[in-house]
Amino acid sequence: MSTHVKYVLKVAPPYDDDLVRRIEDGFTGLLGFKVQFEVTEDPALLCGFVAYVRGVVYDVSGKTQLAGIQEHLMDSMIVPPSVIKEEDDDS
Amino acid sequence: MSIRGDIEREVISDFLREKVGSFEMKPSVYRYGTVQSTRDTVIQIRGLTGCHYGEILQFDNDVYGLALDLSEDSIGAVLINMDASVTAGSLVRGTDRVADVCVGDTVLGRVVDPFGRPLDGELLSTVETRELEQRAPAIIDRVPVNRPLETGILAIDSMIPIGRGQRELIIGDRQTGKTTIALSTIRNQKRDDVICIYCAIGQKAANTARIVHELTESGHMENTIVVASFANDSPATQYLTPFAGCAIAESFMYDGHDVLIVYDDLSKHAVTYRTMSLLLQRPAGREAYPGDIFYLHSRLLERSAQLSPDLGGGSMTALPIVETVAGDISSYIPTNIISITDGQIYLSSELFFAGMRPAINLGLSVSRIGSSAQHGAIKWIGGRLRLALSQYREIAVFSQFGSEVDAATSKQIHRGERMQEVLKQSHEETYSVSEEAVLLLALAHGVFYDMELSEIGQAKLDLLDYLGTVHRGSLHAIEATGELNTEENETLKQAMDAFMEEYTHGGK
Repeated sequence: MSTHVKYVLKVAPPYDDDLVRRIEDGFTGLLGFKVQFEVTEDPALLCGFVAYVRGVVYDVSGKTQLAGIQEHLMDSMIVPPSVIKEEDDDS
Repeated sequence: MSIRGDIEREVISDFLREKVGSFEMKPSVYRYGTVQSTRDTVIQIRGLTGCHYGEILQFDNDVYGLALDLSEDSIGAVLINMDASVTAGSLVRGTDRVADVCVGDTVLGRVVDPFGRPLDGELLSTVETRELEQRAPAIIDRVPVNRPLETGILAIDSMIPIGRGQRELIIGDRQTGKTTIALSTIRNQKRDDVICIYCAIGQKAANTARIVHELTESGHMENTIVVASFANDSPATQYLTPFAGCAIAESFMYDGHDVLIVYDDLSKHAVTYRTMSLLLQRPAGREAYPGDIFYLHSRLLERSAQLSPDLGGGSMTALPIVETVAGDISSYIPTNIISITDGQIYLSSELFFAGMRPAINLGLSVSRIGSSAQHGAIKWIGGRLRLALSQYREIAVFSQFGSEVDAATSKQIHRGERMQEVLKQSHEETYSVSEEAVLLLALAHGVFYDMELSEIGQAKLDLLDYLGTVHRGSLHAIEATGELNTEENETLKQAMDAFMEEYTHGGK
C-alpha cells in the first residue's frame, strides 16, 4: 500500500495514464517531493488541467486561459480619462 | 457586404489578433482553502496557509470575503457580497490583495461604495488606488492645528471653533440635527476649496439619495465625494465604509489639499463591528462590544492630521457623528469617541424642541484645540459670549418656575434671550467670517437688545445687507485678514448706530 498522499488533479478529456504520469513527474521535479494524483475528468476545463497540491492550485486549463484573454482584451478597451479629455479637446 | 463593412471587419480582426497575440500564456498559481462552515455572513476556512489579515478572498461565482481572524487551524472571514452559493466544502482563493479604493480627482463629485464602485449610475475610470488600512501620520509629520475650518454656523465658529486637522465629534439623540450641522459645514467649504467626503455608514438608501440630491441641487457636489453603504449591505461592507472614506481623504491630504470628512455615524459602525465580532466568536466585553472597539475608532480618527509643510501642508479634519439614546453620553461608544476626539458638539433634544436650531448645548460642548486656530475677529468675543449664554441658560431654568428676579437678573435674561435668538440659524444659511464678525460685534454693541425677539431674525439679515452695501471695504478687509482692527471696529460700531437709528425710526 502506498504511503504517499494523493493530491487532486482535474483533467480535460481526452487524457491517458501516460499524460498523468508525466504531470506527476513534472510536479515531483518542481516541488521536490513525490507527487501522486487522484484524477478527475472535467470537460468544463476545455483543455489542460488543474492540480491541487498542498494548499496551492496550479491551473493550466484552457478555461482559465480564455478568461485571462477576455480580461486582457477588456483592459485594452479601457481608455484612460485623460485620453478621452484630449480627444474631446481636439474635436 | 459594403466596402466600409469589410474595412471595419478587417480593423476589428487586426485589433483582436494583435491583442490576443500580446497575451502571455502562463499558469495560474494561487493558494486555496476550503470552507468549513458558514454562519450568516461569517465563514470559517481550513487551509489557505499564508493568508494575511484583511486579505480579500475569492469564492466561486464572484463572491468576495475579507479575512479577519487568523488562527493556527482556521481562518475567519466575512462575506463582502451576501450570497447563498458559499457552502461548506466550497473552495476559497487567496488574492494576495487587501481591500483598496479608487482615489484621485476622478472620484470628486461621485457617489461610490467602499470598494470604489460607482453608485451613481455613471462609469468611473480611475487608475489610482489606495489601501483602506493605512498607518496614521507620525508625530514628526504633523504640525499643530493653527488654521480655522469655518463651518459657517455662528454658534460653532464663535464658541466651539474647529481647526483644520482637528477631530470634532457631533453627538446627540436622533433627530437633533447632527447630520444637518455636518452638511451645513460641507456646504460652507466651497468658499475655501476644501474637499469634502461624506461617509454614510449603513444608512437608509433613501436618506443618502436625499443628501446627494440636496448637495447636487445646491452645487456643492462638485467638491464632495459620498462613500456609502446601506442598511441592507453586508456587515463587512458597512465596516469598511469609514476606512474607504478615510483612504480617499488621505490621498488628497498627502497631495496638499485640505479635506473635511464626515463619518455618519460611528455608533452604527460600532454595532456593525459588534455583529461581525460576535459571529466570529470573539470574546464579548462591555455592552457585548469586542475588546478592540476602542482601537477600531482610534486608528480611524488618528489618521486625521495637519501635515507639516514638508509633506505638502495638507490637512484632514474629521467630524465623526455619534447617536446617543435618551441623552446618555456616558455609555460605552460615546465615552470612547469623546476621549479620542479633540472636542464635541453636543446637541440637545430639549433645545431642539424648544426651537433653538442648531440645538447646541454649550455646557457639554467643547473644542480643545480649535481656539488657537480661531480668527481674531471672532475670538475676542467668543469666550465672553459663551460665558454669558451659559449664565443665561442657568438663570432661565429658574425663571421658568415663576420666581421673582431682581432687575440685574431680569436684564441678563432679556439679553440672553436676544443672544440666543441671534445664534439661531436655518440649515440653509451659512455665514462668512466677516458676517460672523459683524454679528458678534453687533451683539457686543447691544444692537439687538432693544428689539422684540420676533424682529431679530429679519434684523440680522437687514444689518448684514446694510453693512455689505455701506461698508463693503471693511467686510472685505475682515474676510482677507480674519482680524478686526480698532479703526474698523469703530467704523462698524458707528455704522451699526446709524442702522439702529434708521431701523427704529424708519418703521422697519
